[in-house]
Amino acid sequence: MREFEDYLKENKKRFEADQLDESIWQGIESQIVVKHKVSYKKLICLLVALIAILLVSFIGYKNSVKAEALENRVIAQFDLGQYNFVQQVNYKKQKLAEESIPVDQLERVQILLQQLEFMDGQFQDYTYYIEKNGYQKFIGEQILNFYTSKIELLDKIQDEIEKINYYEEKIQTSTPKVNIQI
Amino acid sequence: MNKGTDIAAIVSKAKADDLSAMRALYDGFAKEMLSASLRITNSLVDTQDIIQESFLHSFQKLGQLQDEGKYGSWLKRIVINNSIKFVKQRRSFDMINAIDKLYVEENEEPWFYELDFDLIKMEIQKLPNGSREIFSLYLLEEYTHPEIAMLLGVSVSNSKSQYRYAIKLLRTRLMHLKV
Repeated sequence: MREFEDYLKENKKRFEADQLDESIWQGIESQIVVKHKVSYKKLICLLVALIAILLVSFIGYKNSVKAEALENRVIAQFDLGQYNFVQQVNYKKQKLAEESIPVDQLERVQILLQQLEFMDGQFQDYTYYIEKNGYQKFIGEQILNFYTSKIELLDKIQDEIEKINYYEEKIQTSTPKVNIQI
Repeated sequence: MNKGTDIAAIVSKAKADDLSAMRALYDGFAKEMLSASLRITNSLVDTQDIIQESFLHSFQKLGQLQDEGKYGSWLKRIVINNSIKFVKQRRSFDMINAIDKLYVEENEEPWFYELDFDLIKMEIQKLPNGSREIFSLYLLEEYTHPEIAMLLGVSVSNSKSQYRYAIKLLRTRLMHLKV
């Protein structure tokens, strides 16, 4: 019987189908083409999104570099470098960005954050004025006040957050927390 | 696929989504795969679906194939696995008590050389489902009995006895037809 098995094994090529139905390939081909079309579409969407993100980031980066350079120039011009205002503001902002509070208390902080935004608008007004009229002494005094007030406001926000979290810890309401967007 | 054809080169092209390379792979392997699957499923319509699905799967996963020269054996695995998955629900094994009743002469004359291969193919198709699957996997696809046992979820001894049953049954039927 072994010989019979060997004979079948040696001739297994002869068991192959003689012909194939072309519809099998057509089915494969149509699905490959559909998948390609879908993946090309996806790729194009992805590329467009990527370009948009890069463009927005680049503009944002360019603006922030420009604003930082302008701020440094103003500080140097009015001889305010000794107060380390920029460093203080950055440090306090970074600290605030790491904080989180219960979502139902957000409103209390939001009012202070809006004040901060308003103050930044004020600084822009000063820079426009300087660009138009040059560096004048009274603007230097305004800017000194601006930074002092801004730092005070940042401290106030920090205090408010600590107060909120102190009570939250005591009462433990288990309210979900949100980060401070600054 | 013709000897000397550089399968690896064609697979490389297919990896780069070259449709004509995919077609070349299909032309090279489809008949072999169709026959292997048909011996397991015994249904041409279902086999055609399995072949279509298996080729498509292989083209989509070509990136995972590291040794491009082994495309054929890799594809065969996919086809066999898909075919087994298909027949798993309907599989039944014949009671093989009848095996002893099948007379087999051990030192036989080579009576089978003159047999028409279409006739052999037809008789293989007529074998009971479970034993035909094992017969095809063991003798023609060269799987071992432990491998078959694992694939089909049967014991190794069951795989061996079903194979013996298939080969004896096939031999007896063919001898009967010859006479």
